[in-house]
Amino acid sequence: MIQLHQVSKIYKVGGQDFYALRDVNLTIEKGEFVSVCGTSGSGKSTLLNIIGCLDFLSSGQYLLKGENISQMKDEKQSAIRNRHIGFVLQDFALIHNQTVLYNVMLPLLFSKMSFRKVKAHAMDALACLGIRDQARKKINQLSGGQKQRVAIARAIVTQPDILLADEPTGQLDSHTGMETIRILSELNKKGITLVVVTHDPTIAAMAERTITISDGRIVTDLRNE
Amino acid sequence: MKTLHLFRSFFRGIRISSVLLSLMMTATILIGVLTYARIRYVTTDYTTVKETTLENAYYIQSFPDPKDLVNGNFQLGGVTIEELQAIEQDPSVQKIYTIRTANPLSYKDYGISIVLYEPELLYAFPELKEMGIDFSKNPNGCVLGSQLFQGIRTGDAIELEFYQPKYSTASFTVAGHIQAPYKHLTFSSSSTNSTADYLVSAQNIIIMQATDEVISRLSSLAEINYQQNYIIAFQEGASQEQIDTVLKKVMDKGIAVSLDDITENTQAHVSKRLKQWLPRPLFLLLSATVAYLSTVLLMVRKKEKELAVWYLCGCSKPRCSGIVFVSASILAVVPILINTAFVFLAPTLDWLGILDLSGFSVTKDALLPILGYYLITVVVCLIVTRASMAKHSPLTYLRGV
Repeated sequence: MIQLHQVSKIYKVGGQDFYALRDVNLTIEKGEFVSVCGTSGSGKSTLLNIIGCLDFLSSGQYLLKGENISQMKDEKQSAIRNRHIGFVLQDFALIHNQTVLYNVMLPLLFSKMSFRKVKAHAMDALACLGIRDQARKKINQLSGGQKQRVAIARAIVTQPDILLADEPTGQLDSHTGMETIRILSELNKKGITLVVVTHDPTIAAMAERTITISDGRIVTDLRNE
Repeated sequence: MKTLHLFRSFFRGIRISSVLLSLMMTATILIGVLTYARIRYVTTDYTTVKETTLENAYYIQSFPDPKDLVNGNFQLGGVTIEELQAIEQDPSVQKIYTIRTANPLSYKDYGISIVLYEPELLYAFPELKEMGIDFSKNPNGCVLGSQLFQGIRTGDAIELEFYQPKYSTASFTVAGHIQAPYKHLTFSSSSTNSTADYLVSAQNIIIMQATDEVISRLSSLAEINYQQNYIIAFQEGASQEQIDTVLKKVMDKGIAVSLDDITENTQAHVSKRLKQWLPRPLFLLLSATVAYLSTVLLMVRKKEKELAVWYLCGCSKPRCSGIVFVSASILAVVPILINTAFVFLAPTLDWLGILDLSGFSVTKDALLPILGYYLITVVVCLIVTRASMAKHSPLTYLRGV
């Protein structure tokens, strides 16, 4: 599903090269649940951004479902991101002055789906997360846990192959956080490839496989028992 | 439909300021359109006289005695046509140009006049053709200048009602139309100001060429009279002494001003008007443009986090920029559309008495500066939005959303 070959991401900082990722080789199979751990600034989020086609790699190759993403322009990468990848972020990345329904509809508004079907699909996604009754509410009227459910509903509304979660429980209490991870695990069991960036060892242990990054390199890649 | 949804969402939270900005721009552009119309009104007069082919010509203006007006004896300022024909025989005189009118008549119960131009007059003032007074395809037809004649096309027949010596009707073929405000050359107004606005009139009118056929036909239908003023064109080599000798013969009945002097006086008059009229609308347009661009910039800044979320959901950067740019352009499009509608409706609104546009020449020419202003504004908007959005990557906002 996801193949990274000698991938590097370099930023210019004060005229010098800073390696956010250095020669990363990684393969993630379809349906896998992978956690990515590391200290702050180790390159976890950069790795997720590269996998999610949010950022361009400086060197190397990225194959997604056998297709070479590295050479593609922004329009094509955005289309892939829209169709195949869903994101769940720590800060939810929701539009606060809009309704729950609008936020969940957003990826479908950029897809080729007809407008008539967009609303129906969005309501289905909300129903999957048990928050269909919140559709007309504004985001700023919801609790943290509800916001994260909306974010997950938005992430799955296009029926993506991959879900990328960057510290999805970072702004949630432990109970709500575990509930969120449970929802993501359920989605993984349905066949969605799940990659979770986390500081929390409990959450990391829930994955089938844990990758540890330090200074832009993968230092360990272990299967969890 | 999906894109409309995105445009709608773009304006969320900024609707009131968008409406206020649109209203302000509409009013400012309208002021610009009306100023342009005012300038066109005075410059049309100037151009008509300036572009004359007559080199050595004098406009003889008379100031009729009220008794003459009552008696109807004010044709040619009291000079008889025979006297003028005698003066035209003078070797220094090239030609004397007169204008006649035919009255009374009406069209669908509305009183209107026919003005008769000699064919040579049309050559002498080529600007008349630019106004629409063109008989090249139909020398005996009529050119219509009134909102009364809306819907009548060139080539159609128009029936007019005449009242003297008895009531009768007659059909004439339409040779063309003059645009509102129906400006045409006239020799019926006199002024000591000696500027072109007294040679050009704006009123509802029908114009015909004073061909033998037309004169013959109209003579049996209406009263044909000469307008009170006329132009004496002298030969190229005529000396000032010869000119003065001829002018002396008519000077006791009026004043003579050379067309060159009229052109010069009009130029000074127009320049003065431009200095009075231009600064305020230009300042307002500049202010409106700055306000528009500032608002667009603030809108983009306000929406940058939202646009980052759009990017996250699969909207490419060019598409994000495109939606932002089109949304910002919509703010400018609404005032443009309203003003364009005004340009098309103005003659009708004037005709219905809803607006008083005397002194304004609101024609379709005004669409060009309106479109020009829109294009400049849109191009600057494009540069501003792209520059603003290029400053920060969506990732910058997603890290801290």
